[in-house]
Amino acid sequence: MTKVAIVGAGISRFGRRTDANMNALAWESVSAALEDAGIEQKDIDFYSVGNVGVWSEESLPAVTVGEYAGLTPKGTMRVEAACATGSAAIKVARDSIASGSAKLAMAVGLEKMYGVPTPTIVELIGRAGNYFWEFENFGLTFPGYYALYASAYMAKYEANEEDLALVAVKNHYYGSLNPFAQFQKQVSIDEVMTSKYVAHPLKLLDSSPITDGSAAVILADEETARRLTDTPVWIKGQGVASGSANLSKRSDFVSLDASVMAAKAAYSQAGIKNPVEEIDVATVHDCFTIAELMAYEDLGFVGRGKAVQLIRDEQTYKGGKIPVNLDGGLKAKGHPIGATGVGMAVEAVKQLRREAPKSRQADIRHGVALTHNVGGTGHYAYVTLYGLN
Amino acid sequence: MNSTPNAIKRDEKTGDPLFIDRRELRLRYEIPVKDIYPFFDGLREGRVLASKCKICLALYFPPQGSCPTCRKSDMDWVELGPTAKLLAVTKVCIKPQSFAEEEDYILGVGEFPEGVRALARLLFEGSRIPKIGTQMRIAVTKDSGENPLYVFVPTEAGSNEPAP
Ligand SMILES: [Zn+2]
Repeated sequence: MTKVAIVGAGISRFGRRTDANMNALAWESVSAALEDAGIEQKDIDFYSVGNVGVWSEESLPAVTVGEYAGLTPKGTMRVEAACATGSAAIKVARDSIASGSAKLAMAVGLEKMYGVPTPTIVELIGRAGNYFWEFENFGLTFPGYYALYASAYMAKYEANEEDLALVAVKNHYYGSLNPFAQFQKQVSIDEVMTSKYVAHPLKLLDSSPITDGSAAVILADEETARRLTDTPVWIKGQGVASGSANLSKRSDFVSLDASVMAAKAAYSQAGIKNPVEEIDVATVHDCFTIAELMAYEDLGFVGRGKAVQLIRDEQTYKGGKIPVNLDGGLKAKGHPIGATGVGMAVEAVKQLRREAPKSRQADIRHGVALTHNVGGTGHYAYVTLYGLN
Repeated sequence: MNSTPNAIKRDEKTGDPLFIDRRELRLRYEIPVKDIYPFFDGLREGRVLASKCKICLALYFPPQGSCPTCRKSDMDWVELGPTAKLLAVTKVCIKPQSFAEEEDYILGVGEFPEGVRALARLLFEGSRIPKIGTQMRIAVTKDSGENPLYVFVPTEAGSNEPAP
């Protein structure tokens, strides 16, 4: 496959953004990415816009963003893969370069969720599985999906709610060091444990928030990348997989099969044999605390049932065996659904270029970063490996 | 459709000006069920039916009218249960808009001896969350709108929870 690199990255502040509409919010990251790459809109051959929408005003965000950001009349499309939408937008941009149809492509991730009341969001995200059998009939919610997994995982591996809380404590700590994060404050185990149940056994502070935000990356073929920058960040591999829409079609509830398959494919493409030894920093999909624990195992950082020990030993903090979510993760940085995957790529780029604030900059020894972006509850999975070489 | 004289309001927290949309969209879908109609016939008779491919004998629940393996639409209908083992469970506390009027409810995935699984409400005394591994019985009840709905209830033998 043609080598493809990220040559520019930008991100907006995440949070409740009553100061910016969808297009203005996208512009914050698009303009930052163009600035970072040192190029102009006319240089872009194709752009994808990852956006789930419905809770926000525009039905055709790819064209409204394009008009606002001066990208019209370049070819575009809107991309959807639930919470993995951002990674899917990157795949489309990468494939357009790999196919030879573009030399420079942009992937924009955008979500504006605060445009409607919270119960409407709960309603819409709850439908993110099989609408008729699991939502219409029974009212399963998105936290409910992951809570089902948490119940089975905790029963099988004798984990407890305090173990889940440790993930929230870590990610809020790193959120407190990230000026772009939605929650820039630390939380204690007690605060997590006394927060209200959203879907038992998951509590409010086990959950990522509703978020507005955008992120953008500019991808280039090898020749263009080397012309534009001395520090291209190469896409070394990207594994994609899907899972059943109905959770009742899953055989167990302790692991996301789609994550396992996507990771295996990505590692194979990038020639990674031992992830913990060869990856410097990871951002994983911690939409709920249980999701981060399952990710440790699904990505092969530890064996089955060993994730709890990894977080108890603080081995996923900076300086640990494998630092995870040093940007605060979805949990504290925020989870603007369509922007999350692109935001992860922006974080991988900053970490690999050693441009993160010192307090949360990982030690870059191998020059390899991983992003793990799940859509729904393992309905989609995208695992991407980024590298300096 | 109503028109607001001044559609611009200040956000209570940030003070930012927000244009309050004067248009409102309501959605209610019409979902074809022709290929799984026997399921609804069964439900009215108090039975929960899965579809079964007449060629490869694969069992489908939720039921579907075609078998993707055989690429044929020739299905038998077989009754599930009555018992199923609880694989995963949650109590939904923050509810969607369209379930806002209901008490907190318990949902779980039960696995039938035939190997298929179903997600349904759990109706156990005192809104208790049963343990993973509990044997349950599938039953048909009525929802608030008097439509038949399948649920999991305790087995007739009483408590079948695994020992702690
Ligand atoms: Zn068949």
